[in-house]
Amino acid sequence: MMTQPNQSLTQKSSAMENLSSLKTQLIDTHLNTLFAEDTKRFNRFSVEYDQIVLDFSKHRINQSIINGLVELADERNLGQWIQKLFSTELINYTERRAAMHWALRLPKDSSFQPEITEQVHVQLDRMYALVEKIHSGQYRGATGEVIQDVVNIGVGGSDLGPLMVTHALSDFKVPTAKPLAVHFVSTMDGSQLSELLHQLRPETTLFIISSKSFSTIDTLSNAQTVRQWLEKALGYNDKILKNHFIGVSTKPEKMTEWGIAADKQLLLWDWVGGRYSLWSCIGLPIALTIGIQGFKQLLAGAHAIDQHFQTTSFEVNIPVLMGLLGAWNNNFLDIQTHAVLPYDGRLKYFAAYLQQLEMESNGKSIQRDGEKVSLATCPIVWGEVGPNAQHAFYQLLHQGTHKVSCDFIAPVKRYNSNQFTYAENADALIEQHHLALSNCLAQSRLLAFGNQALSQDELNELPRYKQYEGNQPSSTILLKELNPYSLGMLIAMYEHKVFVQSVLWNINPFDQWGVEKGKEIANQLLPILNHEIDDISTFDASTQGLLRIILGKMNG
Amino acid sequence: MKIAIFGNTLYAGVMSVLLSESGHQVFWCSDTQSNENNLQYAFHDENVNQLLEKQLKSGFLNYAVLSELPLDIDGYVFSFNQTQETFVFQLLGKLKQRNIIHPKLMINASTFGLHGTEKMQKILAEDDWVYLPDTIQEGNALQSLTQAKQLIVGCLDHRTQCKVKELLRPFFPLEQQFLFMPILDAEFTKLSISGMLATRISYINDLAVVAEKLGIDIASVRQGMAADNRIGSAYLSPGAGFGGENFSHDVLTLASTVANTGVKSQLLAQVWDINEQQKEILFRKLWNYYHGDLQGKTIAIWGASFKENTSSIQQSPIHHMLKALWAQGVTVHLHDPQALDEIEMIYGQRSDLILCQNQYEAVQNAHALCLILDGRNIYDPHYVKAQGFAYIGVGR
Repeated sequence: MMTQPNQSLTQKSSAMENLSSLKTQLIDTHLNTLFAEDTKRFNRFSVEYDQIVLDFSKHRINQSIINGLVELADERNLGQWIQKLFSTELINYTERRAAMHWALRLPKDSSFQPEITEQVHVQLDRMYALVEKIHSGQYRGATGEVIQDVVNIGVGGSDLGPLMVTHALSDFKVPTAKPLAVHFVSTMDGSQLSELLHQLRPETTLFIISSKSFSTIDTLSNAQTVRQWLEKALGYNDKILKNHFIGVSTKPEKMTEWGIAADKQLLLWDWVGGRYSLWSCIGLPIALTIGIQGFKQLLAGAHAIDQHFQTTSFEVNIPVLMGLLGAWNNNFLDIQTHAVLPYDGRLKYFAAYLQQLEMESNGKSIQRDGEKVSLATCPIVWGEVGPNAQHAFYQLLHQGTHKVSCDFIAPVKRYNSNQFTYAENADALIEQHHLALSNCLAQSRLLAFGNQALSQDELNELPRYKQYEGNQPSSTILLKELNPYSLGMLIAMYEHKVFVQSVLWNINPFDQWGVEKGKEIANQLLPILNHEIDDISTFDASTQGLLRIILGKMNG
Repeated sequence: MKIAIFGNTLYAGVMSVLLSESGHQVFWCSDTQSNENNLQYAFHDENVNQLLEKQLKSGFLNYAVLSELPLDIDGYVFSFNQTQETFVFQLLGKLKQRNIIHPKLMINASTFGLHGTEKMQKILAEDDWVYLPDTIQEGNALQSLTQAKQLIVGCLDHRTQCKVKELLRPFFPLEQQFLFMPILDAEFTKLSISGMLATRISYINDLAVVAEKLGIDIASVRQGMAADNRIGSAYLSPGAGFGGENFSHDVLTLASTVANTGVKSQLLAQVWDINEQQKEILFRKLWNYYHGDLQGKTIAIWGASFKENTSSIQQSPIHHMLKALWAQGVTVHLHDPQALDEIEMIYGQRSDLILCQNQYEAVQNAHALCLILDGRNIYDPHYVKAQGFAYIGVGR
């Protein structure tokens, strides 16, 4: 079979045709039937690698479909594309950049891309030195007092990734010489700052200004506010800039211009996308929470998946399977939304994190060849901590009219490492974890099998409003436990899943032109709200109407 | 009376000296883990050491191992520090196996927190138990014991009280010199005394920080407070905070005792935090003087022990100072008349620590000199400034 690189879905594709016909054969088969026909279905459709198990047997697939999907991946040259990803090639073609987030987790002694590895580790080591100084209670503010609160100011990738991981690994918080708290501030309206600043002492608070471009208005406006807060308390002097700010950016000259001291500037590179940057010095709040060893474990877990992704054949390659199954649900079964449901409260921000990772990467409609796509690309990704969501939107999953695919995520073990935060109540908490696990398994069963998951007694004379259709597909991802290493694996799995789908859909997952324009238009409106410009006649009628109300109120 | 004393604390040494000097026959078993008859002590108090030598010669004091102790000993004194609790229980087990005719007088002078004496009593239940709080002051060991206005004794039993009074009659001849109370009350009293003293120190240090900001001389304030006879002058010197192993341990024990009762009280935790902050105060003054740029500077320090006349550096501010200065890339020239060996034992040889036998050698080529002498102000700022120094005191 001859294939062209960059072949688009609009062109004739034997793999697509094959899958379409397989779909037609399967479309009326319920998951109940698939399980009844094959008792070995779990063994056939699950993969274990290192600390992770992916069970995809509850998807509406059979072996021919998996074969067909792998065939599609081959037809799209996924193998070649993976090689391109793991190279310095500028695969983010609209911004003329490489996408080398994988390089951020190369071990120090890696022989693969040694020059880049060295660059990366120079910055990581500088970050580790700062972490060490803060943890040992020797990082001092302007007055010589020890820093006890660190506030990360960033938005998007400079916020969601560090926030999600810091929260997820809260049980791995390392003891420090003095109590240390890490906080996150992102919204441009200052909501989080106004809540936070009155609780903090300027003398003992350190700010991380985290912005890839160091020109993000949300971040810089928050940074300006805290600078004034510090100056009000500690006076106008260079000691404030020198001792209370760390900058993380690709732009040293902009950091210098703002006033960040040279030895407090941590660098990353254009070839790291914002939503792939938690592995770089953008992850400083993570390292501050879980320590240097913990951060290295996080990187090691992601690196393990990088290796797995590159070297494992597609039918047992976890990120490839996740990508292919997503495309199957989306493009063939017409399931347009995907719910992420962790059964572990620590993964509270995981769905929000994935929304950026998946939807900012693949929420696009122009192919690499400039043509419009003919099929649906990224589904709507949403989710919530499972046990809480059971009391909210699960009703719709079970009895609504939408088809939804789900990822259930759960750690097998929890409260097992005698961490000081929970050790005293471990026994009772372990029981609670078992309760959460049993709910996780119950929900995926009910979604898949509907009424069949109930006992025969219950089924007799069940009114229609109490019935469950089932047949909603889901994956279950089990981690041995949620630790820095396994979380590193989990995140990297989704990163590469996104890449796999971008190859199938022939789009560039590394740009985000759809979020640029709004900023420009905001710049047109700001002078009007600041009363620098009065003429609003150039705007549409709706905007004019709203502006009149806002301006009227402000004047009154 | 024949008295056996167990433990190697300063209190055990002082009791051995005092009891043997007043004519009791004392057998001192300092190391209960050893089967050999060799005494191991190295007190930081020269007076105690000299008197021990004297009593050994006089024959009233003998070093002994457990197996050689006579069986007709009238009273046993247990004085261990809080890390040696397991030794004590091993010791009590062995005593139980000896053919002693009970009851004997058993005096616990170890601070094992609340109910510490009761736990010991459970093993030798037939004996007459007493708790004597160890309120000895390092640097002033003998006087602090013999010149106490009243001796706190945890003991309510009349027969036992008589024995205690006989034992200590040479120092405390009057009935009113004894303050008897239940054992638990006495244990809590001991911790409360340490807590009160610590609170006074942290209080004056806290005020000193404020005084500095307001341009007030804390020395005036201190004198004024001391002139009020409800307050007095003890433990009201602002400085680099309190130290000492036992004192610090008492404060922590009391703080955790309070916390574990579920009472919402943060006073002692604050006292402790203020003190920890205060141990760095001279560093912060250097930091401010040099605008946070200490990299590559050389700083001399006089004083490493936690108070005068001792070589003990346990919980001394020197540790905080060294860590803070080293973290900024400073080289330290350190002088102390007694404690340099202990410093070297902990920190070993390093290029950013130069130990100086001579105090003036220490200030050669130094950018600044820090004085940590008994943790308080000792110079008159006006005089020192008039000599051409840039001088900064604590709170003045």
